[in-house]
Amino acid sequence: MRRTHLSLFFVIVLLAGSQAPVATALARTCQDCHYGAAYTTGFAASVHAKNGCLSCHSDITDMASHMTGNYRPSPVNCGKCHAQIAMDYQKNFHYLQEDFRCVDCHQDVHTRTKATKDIKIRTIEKCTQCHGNEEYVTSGHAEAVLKGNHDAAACGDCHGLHNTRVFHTSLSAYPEEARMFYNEKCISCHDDTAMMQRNNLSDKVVEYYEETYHGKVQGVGFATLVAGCADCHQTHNILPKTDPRSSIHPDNLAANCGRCHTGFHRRFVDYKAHPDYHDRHNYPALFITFVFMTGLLVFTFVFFWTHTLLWWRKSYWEKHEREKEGILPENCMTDKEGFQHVQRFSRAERAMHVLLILSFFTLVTTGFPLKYHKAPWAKILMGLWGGAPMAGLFHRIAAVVLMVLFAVVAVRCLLFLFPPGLGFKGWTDRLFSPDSLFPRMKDWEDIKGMIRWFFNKGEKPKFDRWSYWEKFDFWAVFWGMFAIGGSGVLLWNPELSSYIVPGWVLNVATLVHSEEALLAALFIFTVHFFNTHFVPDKFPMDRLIFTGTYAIDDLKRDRPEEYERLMAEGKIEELKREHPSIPLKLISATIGLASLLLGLALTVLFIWVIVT
Amino acid sequence: MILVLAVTLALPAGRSASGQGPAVHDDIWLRNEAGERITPMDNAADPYSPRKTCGACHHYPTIVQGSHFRMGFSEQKKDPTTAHLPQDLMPSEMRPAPYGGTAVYDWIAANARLHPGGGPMECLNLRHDTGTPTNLVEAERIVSSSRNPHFQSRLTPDGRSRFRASGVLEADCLMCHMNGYRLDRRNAQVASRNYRWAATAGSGLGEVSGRVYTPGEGTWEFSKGPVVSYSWKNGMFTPEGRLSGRLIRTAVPSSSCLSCHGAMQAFRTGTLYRASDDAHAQAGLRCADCHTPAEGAPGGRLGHRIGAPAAAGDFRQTGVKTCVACHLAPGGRAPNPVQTHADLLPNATFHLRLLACTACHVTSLPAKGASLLDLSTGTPFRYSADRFEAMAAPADAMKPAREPWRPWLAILDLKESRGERYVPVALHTAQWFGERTARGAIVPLDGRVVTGAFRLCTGITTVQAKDTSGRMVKRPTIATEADMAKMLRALNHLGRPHPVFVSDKVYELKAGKVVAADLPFANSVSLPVWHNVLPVAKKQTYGAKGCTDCHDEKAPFFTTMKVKSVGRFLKDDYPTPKGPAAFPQMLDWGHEEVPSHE
Amino acid sequence: MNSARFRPLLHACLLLVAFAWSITPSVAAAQGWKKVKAETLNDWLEKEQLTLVNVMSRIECLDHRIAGSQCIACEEFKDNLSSIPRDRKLVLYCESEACTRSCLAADEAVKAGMKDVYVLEAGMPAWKAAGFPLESVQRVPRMYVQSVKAGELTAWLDRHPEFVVLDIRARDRYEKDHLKGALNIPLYQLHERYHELPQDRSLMVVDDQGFRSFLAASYLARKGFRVMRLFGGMAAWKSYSEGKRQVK
Repeated sequence: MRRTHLSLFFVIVLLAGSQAPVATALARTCQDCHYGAAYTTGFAASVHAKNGCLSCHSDITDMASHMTGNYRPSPVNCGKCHAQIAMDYQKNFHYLQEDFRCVDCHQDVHTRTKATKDIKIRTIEKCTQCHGNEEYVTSGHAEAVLKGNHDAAACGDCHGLHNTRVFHTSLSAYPEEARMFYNEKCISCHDDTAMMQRNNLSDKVVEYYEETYHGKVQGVGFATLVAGCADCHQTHNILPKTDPRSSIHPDNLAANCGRCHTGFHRRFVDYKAHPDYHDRHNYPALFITFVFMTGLLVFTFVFFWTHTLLWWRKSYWEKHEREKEGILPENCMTDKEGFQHVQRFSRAERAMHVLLILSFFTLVTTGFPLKYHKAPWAKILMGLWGGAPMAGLFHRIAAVVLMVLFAVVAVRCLLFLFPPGLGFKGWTDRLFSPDSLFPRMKDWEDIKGMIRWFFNKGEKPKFDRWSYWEKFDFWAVFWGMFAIGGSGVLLWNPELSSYIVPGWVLNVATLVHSEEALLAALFIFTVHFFNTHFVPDKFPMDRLIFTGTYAIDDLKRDRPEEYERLMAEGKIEELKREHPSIPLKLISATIGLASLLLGLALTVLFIWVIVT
Repeated sequence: MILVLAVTLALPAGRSASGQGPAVHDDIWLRNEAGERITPMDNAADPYSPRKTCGACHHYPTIVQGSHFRMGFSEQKKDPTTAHLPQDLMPSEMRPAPYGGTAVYDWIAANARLHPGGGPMECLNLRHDTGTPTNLVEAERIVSSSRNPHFQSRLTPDGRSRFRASGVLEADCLMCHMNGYRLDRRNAQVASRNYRWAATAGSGLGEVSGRVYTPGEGTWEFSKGPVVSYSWKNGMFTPEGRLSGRLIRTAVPSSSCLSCHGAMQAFRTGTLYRASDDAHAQAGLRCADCHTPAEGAPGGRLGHRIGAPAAAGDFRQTGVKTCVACHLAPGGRAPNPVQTHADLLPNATFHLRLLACTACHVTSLPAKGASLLDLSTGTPFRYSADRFEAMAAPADAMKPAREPWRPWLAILDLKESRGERYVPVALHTAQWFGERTARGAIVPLDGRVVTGAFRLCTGITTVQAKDTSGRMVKRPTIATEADMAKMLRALNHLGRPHPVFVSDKVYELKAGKVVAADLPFANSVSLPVWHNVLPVAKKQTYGAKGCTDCHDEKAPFFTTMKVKSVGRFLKDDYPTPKGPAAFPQMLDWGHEEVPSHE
Repeated sequence: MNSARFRPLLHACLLLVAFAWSITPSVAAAQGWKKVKAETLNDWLEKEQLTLVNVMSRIECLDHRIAGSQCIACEEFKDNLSSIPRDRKLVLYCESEACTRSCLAADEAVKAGMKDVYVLEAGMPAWKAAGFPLESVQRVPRMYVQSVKAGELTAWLDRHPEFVVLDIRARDRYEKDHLKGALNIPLYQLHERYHELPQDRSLMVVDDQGFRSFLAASYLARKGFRVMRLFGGMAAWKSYSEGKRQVK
């Protein structure tokens, strides 16, 4: 019995072993029909060799049906294993518009070996099988890649390897997306310090680009209006500027810039697209300007913020003493004469100051988003102005207003110095008279006196009509107009400016304009506001500049020498005015406080940007 | 229980092992060269590709290992300057490539009528692992030099081949595996250099319009390719456009083989495969019943190794069934002759060992056949085997002989020292001009050269011969020494320093006189006749009437005359050969007189 | 509440509602056909029977289409309208919206009296971007077809006289404006007429936008032609020849 069982067992095993699969009435493997080298030796050496045919072609289950052509196999779904790539590929232009599938590019799917160090070279070889782009092959990137550099950009690094989008094919069809795409791609490597240092390239190029006008406008979100990386450097044939075929070779620059700019002198192309203003050798003018402007700012603010701090300390301490003792200046006023108002500023002067405020704020709020384009508030502010072009328009309008004001003030100064009738006679006397804004010895004495007063070493000096800080305010703006106005006019229309100055002057102009603007704005919002409004005597605001009049007691207190003089010359009477009306007071308060608050807010924003 | 198990499990295996396949072939889609389906809607102007259509299921590379397909590779490369005998002797053999290199493009057009496609008609003869594409179209594409000898042509305007326009001739499965294949249409496509379209036209699946080359005018059309218009509604296709499977014959009918081999066999051996003339045809056997593909070779039956028996000698290697397989081997289904012979013949064993079966059983050949070839004037003049009638063309050989003629007999050496046998043969003899090579060998001269010499001569003998329709025709021939001398001198004049004339001897000029020497090789071809075994009932088998059927002075078995000197025969003894232009065939066997039968 | 006081108000409201109701369908009816989003179409395909017609050429339709679509080329749509059942939704689509509009297939359907005619919004790219699959009945394997940019085209054709331009746009567009010496076989007829093309010359395939020429070129390459294509099609050629600048 046992023996029979044993032999039965063997028989079953033998026969089961010899039982061939049902479908092989013809005894076939895939390679019997698909006998090409790709599917036999090629596949065995490929990266997919460990998978069998059915792991990808999993739908071919009925061999007979397949062989007679009754069953058509469906295209393989590579995403079964390559899930991330398949997801990326869903966005690929080649898929969406041209309906390429994996195997249409990877025609060597059966013989494909693992890509390791040569992945970039393989990418180039693959893409150029359809896309000619011979110009890429001559470029610096290609040369580096083909030499084995793993950092340089191959097709996939800029265009995306599997998620190739459509817009980079056409700057004309998708100007905004394309330019933003290019810029983002270039920056992604050229802003990478480690990568740039590895390859002996400047790691600050992006930063310097962003310092230029192009970079600033692009940074604030209006990339379509200005040149991005690819506009100057082209896309595929990126060559160094020493190569005569390069788009940035001096011979080719006119054509290159000419793709956006028209009507310029050939000096225009001397403009530096991303200069390093720390580089004394290559950019001497810029370097000197930078040093000078930085020095100017540092010096001004160190002096005046110290001055402000000391003044505030002295003033606040004094106020505290008086409060402690219950003495307040207002209580000293007893007679009616005391609060009779006299005029300090004429109507014209008040109007001009309001215009000055309006234009100044316009200039600041339209200009600073460009200067600090990276700040989050920059885009918001630009948006409030209706976009960069609108902001530019208003900036220029406000600049014109300011220039008109400047001209009016200049004329008034000249009329003051050379009044009709007197002409040149005695103009030096007038120049150094107390009503003149020109600095004189007394101002120096006053400065020394104030410093002594700050340190409790002396009395507060007695001021005539103009204190030294008011004169400084005036002269700073006056001088500033040359710097900022001059550079602004040059920058207004760079193409026209190229007929007057070479292109690199515009780099200097940008730097001057930018730094001078910061100087002016910060000075006004901190020092001027303190001197005039936040000094504890006057806190929160002195509406004198808006109403134009103040009480005689105030005159006596703040400008004692002027008071003496006016009393001696008997000119007080003609300066007497009505107490300002309520509407005037309200308007003054509104304009004033709004300006103060806006100024302070802007200061906070600027300081925040500078510090972070 | 074990037995039951074994049987049940073996049964399915047994069915699959028989390998006969389904009774009717599946309906299949035709596919074009790229492997795409040809349907009434798509690709309907493309010719179908046997490699992609049939080869989708049947392993094409194995099939084209067969001798039918590989034939031509060696002929391509044969150096025409080393040939022994004139090519015209066997017109159905493939010519070497005539240009020194292998300008395959023209060679295909010249020789494809003798070839089913595939092999040299499709590929270069390279090993598959060299990496070079073997397909001629692909190889042509990567050839950059116009001087590459493979890809030239004598006829194209720029001297380069045009495989891209013409395509290649793939192995045409339906040529054999179909009833009603139109070989003439296929060959017309080949002559028009429409290689790609040949299979479609031959199978009758569609009409081909447009030609790459128009032979009559000698013009080429490379711009517009030929276009196929399939006959979707003629019953060869299913309604959706598949090729109907019942057209495809697994069992190859005799008509397929005879479409090429019929004329060839008639020319060579005067055989016609008809029931009236052949007992096997009468019994209903097809060619493929005996000429089976060898199973032992790699690829098995799919390897299509249908052996050429004349080439092999050992029939066991070729898959060809011999008399023994059916008549003598155990389990054979045909009548066993051992007993019959023992009864009829004294010394039966002796005769059976000495004579091939066919020696006695093939005694009358129905077709005219061909026997003599006269190349002495440069133009091939042929004479039939039955009564030496002047043939207008090789095709005349297929015409029925006025009276069936007896084959000659020769001794065939069997391989592997199994002795020798007497077999019936068809004799092909020629007379021709050649020249001596530097090493002293003799090679035939090209017909055009000889014609040129003939034109320079005057007074060459003219003979009269009867042609196949009974009229007398005049033909010039070199019959006398004077004729030979004139021709040899004329050939000298044309720049051939060592011309020779070959007929019964080798004649050449030495010091201005014609001298004869013995032939260094046999100036004839003897082709064994294996077919047209007469039905025994006809009583024409040797020995049917007794021993004197052979053993007699008058019996033709020993005494049939063999023509040795063609010209002299035509001049002096035509139409009945006699000495000295001819002598009895027994002299070749070493017999001076007829052996007695006692 | 005295309802009588409110009755005029109620009448006014009803009138307003009725008016609003009436104008809405007529606004839709003025256009005749509606747009349908890819997700909605996917839902419909799962739930109901509808006629889905791909109006690209046959070559493109068999290469990739939404499963279950019919292939009726846009130019032949009018002639094949009768074969479309009228009792169910008809959804037309192609590679964008523009092609159904340009040969007015949807309008033809509406004119013929079909009721529920839809056009797939943003066409097949939207379907693909939404992640839905396509079927390939007869895929044209893409070949490596090189392209020539519009700016280089003239120079290229001068240097390579063996090239002839093949314009695969519709006949009317070809007749309006085409490149010098261009042959015209509209793509929807290419699979029947490709053998009219000269075999001994190379083809420069040109289409409208550059999106279809690759497939057409691959198809022809499989037929044994040597092909290249114009990058960006006639649109790129026009913008180059009109000298459009790259920016602003």
